[in-house]
Amino acid sequence: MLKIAITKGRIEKQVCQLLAKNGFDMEPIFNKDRELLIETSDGLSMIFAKANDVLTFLEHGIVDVGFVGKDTLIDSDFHDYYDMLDLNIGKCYFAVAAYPEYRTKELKRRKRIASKYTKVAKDYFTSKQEDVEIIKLEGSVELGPVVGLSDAIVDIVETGSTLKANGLEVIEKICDISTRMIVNKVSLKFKKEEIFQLIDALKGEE
Amino acid sequence: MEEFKYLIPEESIDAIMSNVSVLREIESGLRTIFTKNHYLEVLMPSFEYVDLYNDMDIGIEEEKMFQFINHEGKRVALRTDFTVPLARLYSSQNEDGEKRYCYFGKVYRKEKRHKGRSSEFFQAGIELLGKGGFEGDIECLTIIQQTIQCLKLKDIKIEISSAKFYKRLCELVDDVAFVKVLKKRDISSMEELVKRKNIQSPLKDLLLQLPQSFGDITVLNQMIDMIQDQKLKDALIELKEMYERLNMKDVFSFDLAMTPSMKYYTGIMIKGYSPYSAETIISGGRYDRLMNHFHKNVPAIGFSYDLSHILKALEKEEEANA
Repeated sequence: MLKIAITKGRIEKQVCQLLAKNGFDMEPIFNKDRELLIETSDGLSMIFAKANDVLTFLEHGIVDVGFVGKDTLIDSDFHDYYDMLDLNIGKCYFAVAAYPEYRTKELKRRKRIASKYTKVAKDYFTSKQEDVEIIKLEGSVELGPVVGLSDAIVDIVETGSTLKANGLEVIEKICDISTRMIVNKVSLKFKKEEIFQLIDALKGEE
Repeated sequence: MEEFKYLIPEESIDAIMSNVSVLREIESGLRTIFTKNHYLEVLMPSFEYVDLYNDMDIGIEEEKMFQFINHEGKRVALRTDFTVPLARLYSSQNEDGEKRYCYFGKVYRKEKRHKGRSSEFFQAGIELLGKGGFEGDIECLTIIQQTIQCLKLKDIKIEISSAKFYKRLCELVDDVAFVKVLKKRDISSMEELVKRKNIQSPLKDLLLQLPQSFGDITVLNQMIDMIQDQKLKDALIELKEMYERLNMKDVFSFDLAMTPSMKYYTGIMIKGYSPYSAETIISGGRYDRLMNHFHKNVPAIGFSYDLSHILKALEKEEEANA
């Protein structure tokens, strides 16, 4: 029995469709109501959780495999897992975004950057040798510049339409993001065959 | 009532181990075997200079140490590892001969908050200084094999690999991204790396195979057949020759994608796992150049048991089989 945690919502839908396409029985998942734990006929036991919790369950060895966005992995300070496969779905990217004036504006104070992903923001500006003040916002980060709380934001950009609707634009791309399959290090040792079967299926090599 | 009368600091999550009697039983089993093999038990100090750990550059980040300023105005840290203080002890004894030490005690490393992780770990282990090559490796692996019974766990996997193989691979691939890709066993990025660096077979096949190159001796043989580079091949042939001299082979398997958990490893690397512990329960390796920091050229090898994790695994294994 392979225990899997999937990030609820969009990643859940995309991963389950991908698994179904590659021959897994996903009917129990597609037909689920509000259950949080489901077992399929292929011997997969699946739980559905928030992105950061997927990582926590994997860290504690509660699940063997997790499906989670690269954004969550990058912003976490836990790294002791195998990050084995890029599923090439849920593609988007991290970027710095602001009003166009941001490019040329010279500030006489520390820049203020709003982000939900404080670690990504900090690492990015550190790599640019820039000292900035980072303010954590939990959602609708675009509000930062709009209400005048911050000079720019660091956020995930998919289509850029929210940015555009608020007069903001991408200043610089930071890195690509997509959905990843991560594996608990000890599980890989004891469930090698099952895990590589899943990998092969997801790569479409079965 | 005041909080400190009923709360413990978050660092102390597991300070009170519920299973002290089991711990002591395992400990005494290990002690008997260590003593039989002429390992001298040492009781190491709780504080060491932060500079000692930093100078060794062993890969433990400074922020993980519990640090204090002592009366000299110098930074001291709670012991974060046993190997470095034992290397210091050896060097202070002014001789270059063989020394066998064993130890039991806690190491302290700061962990992130609210992660359900403890900051103190009870370890047991041995260090064998002044004995290089196969003989030292075999002595250590034999002790591991003798002690497995004491750990009481039914299902244990012990994997060995070679830091020489790893280091040569890094040289051959020569890319900053490689170590991370290997550490994460990132199949997608490995494919991308091979393409980007235009790496040709047989190295290409080897790299793509690497994420799943773990298992019994057939994995090692397959890999040896695949390799053209002589240095790379020699590293694995050395590992194989050592393995063939072991008495009880079936305890050990191989993981050729293993990356050194301590920066100072130079030869064989050892890791032990239980399906009931998300962390490694045994960890060690050969470190022939660590003593260079003390201006000594002395080969050494050592390994440790993470008894806190072993105890937790035991509890879970018992629950699962109840």
